[in-house]
Amino acid sequence: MNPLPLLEVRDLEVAFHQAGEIPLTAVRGVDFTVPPCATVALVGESGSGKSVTALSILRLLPESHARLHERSRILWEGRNLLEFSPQAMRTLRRRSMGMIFQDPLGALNPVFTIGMQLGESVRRAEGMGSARQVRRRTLELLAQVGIANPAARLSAYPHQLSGGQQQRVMIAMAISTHPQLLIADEPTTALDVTVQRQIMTLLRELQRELSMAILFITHDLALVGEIADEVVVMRQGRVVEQGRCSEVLVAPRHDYTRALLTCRPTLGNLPARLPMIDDQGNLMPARDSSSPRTPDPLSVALEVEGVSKSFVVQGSGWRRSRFQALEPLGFALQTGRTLGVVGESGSGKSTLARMVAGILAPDTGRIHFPGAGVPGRSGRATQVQMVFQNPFASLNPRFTIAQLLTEPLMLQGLGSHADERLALAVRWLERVGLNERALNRYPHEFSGGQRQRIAIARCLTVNPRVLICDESVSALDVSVQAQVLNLLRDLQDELDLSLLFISHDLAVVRFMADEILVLYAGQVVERGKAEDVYARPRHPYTQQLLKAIPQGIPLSSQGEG
Amino acid sequence: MTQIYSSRRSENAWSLALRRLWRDPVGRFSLGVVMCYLVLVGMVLAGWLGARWNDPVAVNYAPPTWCASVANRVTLPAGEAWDRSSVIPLYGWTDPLEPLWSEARAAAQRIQPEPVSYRLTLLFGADKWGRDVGQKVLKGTQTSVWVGLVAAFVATFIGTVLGALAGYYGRWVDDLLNGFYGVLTSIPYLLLVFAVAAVFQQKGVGTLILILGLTGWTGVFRLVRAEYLKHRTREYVLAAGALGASHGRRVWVHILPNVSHVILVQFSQNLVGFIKSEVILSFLGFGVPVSSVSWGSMLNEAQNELILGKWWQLGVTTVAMAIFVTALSLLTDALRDALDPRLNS
Amino acid sequence: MSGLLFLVRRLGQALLTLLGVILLVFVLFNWVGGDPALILAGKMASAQDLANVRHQLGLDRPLWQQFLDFVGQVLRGDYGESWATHEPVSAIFRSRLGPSLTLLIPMLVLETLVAIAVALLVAALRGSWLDQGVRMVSTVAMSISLLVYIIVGQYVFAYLWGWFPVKGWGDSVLTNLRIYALLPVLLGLFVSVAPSIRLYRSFILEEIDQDFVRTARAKGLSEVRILFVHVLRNAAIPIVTNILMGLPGLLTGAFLLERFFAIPGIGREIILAVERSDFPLIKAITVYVAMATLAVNLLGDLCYRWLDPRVRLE
Repeated sequence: MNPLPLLEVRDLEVAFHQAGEIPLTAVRGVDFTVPPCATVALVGESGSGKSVTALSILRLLPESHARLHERSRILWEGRNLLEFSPQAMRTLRRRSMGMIFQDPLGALNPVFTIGMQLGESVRRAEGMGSARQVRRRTLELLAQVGIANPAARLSAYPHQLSGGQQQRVMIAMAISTHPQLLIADEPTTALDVTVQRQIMTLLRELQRELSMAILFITHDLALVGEIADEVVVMRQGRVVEQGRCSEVLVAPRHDYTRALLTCRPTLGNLPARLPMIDDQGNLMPARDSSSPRTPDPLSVALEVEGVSKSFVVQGSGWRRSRFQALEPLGFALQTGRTLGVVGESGSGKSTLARMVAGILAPDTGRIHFPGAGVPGRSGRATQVQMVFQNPFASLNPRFTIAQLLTEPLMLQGLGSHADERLALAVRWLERVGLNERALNRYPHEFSGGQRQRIAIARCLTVNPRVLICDESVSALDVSVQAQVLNLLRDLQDELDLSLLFISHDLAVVRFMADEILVLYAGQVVERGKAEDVYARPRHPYTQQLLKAIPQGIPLSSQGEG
Repeated sequence: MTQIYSSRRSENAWSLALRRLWRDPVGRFSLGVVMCYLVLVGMVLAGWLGARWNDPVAVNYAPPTWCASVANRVTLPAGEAWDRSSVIPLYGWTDPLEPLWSEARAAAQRIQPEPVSYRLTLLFGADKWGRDVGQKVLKGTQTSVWVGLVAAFVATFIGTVLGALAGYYGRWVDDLLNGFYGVLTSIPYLLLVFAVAAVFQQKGVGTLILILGLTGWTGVFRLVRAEYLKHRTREYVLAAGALGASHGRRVWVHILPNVSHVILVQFSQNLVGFIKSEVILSFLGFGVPVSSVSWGSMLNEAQNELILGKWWQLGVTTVAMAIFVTALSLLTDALRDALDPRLNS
Repeated sequence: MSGLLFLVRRLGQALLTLLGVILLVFVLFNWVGGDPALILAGKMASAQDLANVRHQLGLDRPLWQQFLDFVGQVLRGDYGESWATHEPVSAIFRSRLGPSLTLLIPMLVLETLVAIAVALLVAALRGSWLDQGVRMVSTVAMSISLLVYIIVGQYVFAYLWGWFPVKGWGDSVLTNLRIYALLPVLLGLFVSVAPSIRLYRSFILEEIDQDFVRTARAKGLSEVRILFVHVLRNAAIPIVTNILMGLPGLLTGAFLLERFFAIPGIGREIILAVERSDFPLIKAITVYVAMATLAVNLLGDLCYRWLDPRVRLE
């Protein structure tokens, strides 16, 4: 190991001061070291302070209300960069550091071309004057980050590129300076899993080529194993555990790290229930499944036949062209079973969910609930309900929990009077693990996981037979995700619910689903029993998807660094 | 699963916002000032204040007390004005009106037991006819603020209803209403107000409110429509639909409370705008009738007085208006910050 | 969408809106406005007189025919005679345009320059005492009626101190600019600059908070370059659109200045027309100004497309 580390963070403490609010300490006493040419991963769930840590290294926190404690020191090659003048700090950023962000579209200036923005970096980094030199270097960089036909891309604007290409341009900008350190803040979180795979490969290659250090910030431990030499696990602003990847990921010492590793379903490991993390960060082992499911194979809860959908998009001139979001497709969902729908963005999976839920009307085909003959089950609402992706958006912020839960009962004419409806609401609230103290509170007082449970309780108040989960756990942290997934499986066993489980996350779908439907660009490319599809994917797209899943295995070769 | 709830009392978005507003010193101060004005307006409406604004109580152009060193008042002897019989000789005839005269004299004695007194100075000075500027500004404040308030209610109501319908239903409803909006906004606001004022031949507070309210709703419409466009595809609205809520319920029960902050801010912005418009209209003589008084009509009188060096009516009116409008503008800004939904999570 | 098709489409929309304006004006003056004959013929008119006036104006014909007449008037640009002065209305409009523009163009140019400069300065120094001070002063300044500025300004600078003529207008543009328009332009600038500063400041701040500014900082660009290249280029989109959209309002917005300083412009003419119930003149001015607004809005849309590649290349 090099005796002088590239970057040392010592006792970093950051607090945010808002006028009239209690100061909020986001990072408390964080220590870690980045050796030259090594990759260090900063891992944590939301609120762990990992991004704040990254931004404070570049001194990019908003100066008006972010305060660093005077004890805190950030040493760049031994010198405290918190004491640098703004001019010296700019020079450091220009010469020695690069950064890429989670949302590449927002991070690029929308009104300037790629060529201009990249050229700006190049000119500043290398002090090159002539336009031809800058252009040559710009093209070289674009080629280096794997953008096809770079000359044609120079005059493109950011919004004309795909998400993956935008992130490549960001990377090109960051490495234009030959940085010694690249800070990557969740660089693949907003991208599809196949694109994520490409970007990760690119980062790894570039690191080797340019021999730079990378500070890789992520919430996903599985990615860490693929790229990092060392890992720093953060929770609520503190470092919980740190060490070499090969040790931490294989034999984690801290409960929280162990929990992060096991809470997330993986393709190889299929327990009936997932382990969870309690509020103190301790691991709670998975309960045994209460009873094996014995679904009635004859009863079909949902039948979809030849359903398709297209949308009008503003085309050129007066003619409005149509965009086919979903080609005609059909399937049947049996009572008490789960159909997993897998696809990347733009595959039409949300369109399918919304049509089944009755929010969108299909162009062709029909959606049928064979149980609808049962008395008291007249409306669509009592047949099917939907849990949305974002629990912060799906609960009306101006309603109390009591209003949220009793409204559907009132609308569906369930419960004869207000007290009875409230009692029903309490029962469902308790069923999802909350209690009646929540009734008079507003959604913003609950955490993401609690809100998602409330959303599930709201769906269940009308006793639907089919529950649609459209990316319902995608916005949640790993530990909370495990709670919600376990809850869904418990409820399914108990109520004989049929689930239409939609996600981009193949591992999560594998954990939930009995059967699988793979969607690509509005078409079903593969379907079958879950174990068959995952074990022997036939369609190339499915194979590619499965290959792209981060495996969470530490790097075998640890030669560099 | 253990639960962690925040320990403080549960609050809805409005009381949270109010608390945030109260914590902001500027917000607290401006809210206080605006409330004082509203109480004042209420008292004038009830007739407790400013009811005698039309009485001449001082000499013409009596200056404000604090910049005059003259004795305070002139007193006219009692009953002098009524002593007709001593002036006109009757040559033995009996005045056929004598019984009426004596009756009138007796009445005058009863009504005015004290001598009529005209003040030489007043706290805020007097106008051309010796009316107390202080009383006038109370009454004028009431007129201007009241016109602004009611017109803002009308405009906000129209704008909200039409904006909600256009934004939520889209399609031909939106095309139609948006077309109407396009027509109204392609005529500059004041020109539109003038055109409508020219058409309404009678003046009065009611007409003024109607003109301002019917022409001023476009700003509310635009913002409310945009909010509804945004909210109608939000997940909570889709969820309400999936749970069986009707369109009407989604528009008025689910979405409306979530855009109410926009409406409130628009209301107070409209209030500022309408008060300014009222002042201009009344100044030009298209606003309140001569029998009434508002900030605008006071400025109109003040314009001619200024050339004679009588600046007090102008000064008092300007200050009264500036304090209210400044406080209202500051309150609007503070409200906007306090109601920012991004702060709610 | 290609530029030409977009233009054709927007033109069609503008024409439709213009038709709406014509209809609105017609409904206001020929229907809501009551019987113009009562205004024209005077209070002492007999029934016969009234009928004559109505016939003369074509008011005894069915409404739809009157509407078609009005559309014809608009198409020909001939709105008949003023009821007050019996001059042709279009001639009045033409002769009043010059003075209005002499007043407005310098005002607009100065206001835009001053407002953008100050807004950039206070946005860059957000939260400083200068920013707070400018905000406070502009809030108070905006709350005083513009009438007060004009009344006091005219009294102090022209009447009391004699720096400028109290009122008047000459024949040559240069004389007008140098002598008569000076005080009105300065007063108008003073009144209109405060709201513009506030608005532009908010446009600039919105861009300053965007992620791409963080990227620019991470690239090590200087704050000056970030502000003047990255932020200003983005903020220019709403600022330019806002200036263009505000143009037609200026045409009438200066009517108070024109009235106080006896400048024979369009704004003063409108007030006179409203005072005299001169319906043909009000109708004509409304339609003309609406046409100008629609044209400028169209220009604004084109500018917006040209400035914002996200819209242009969609």
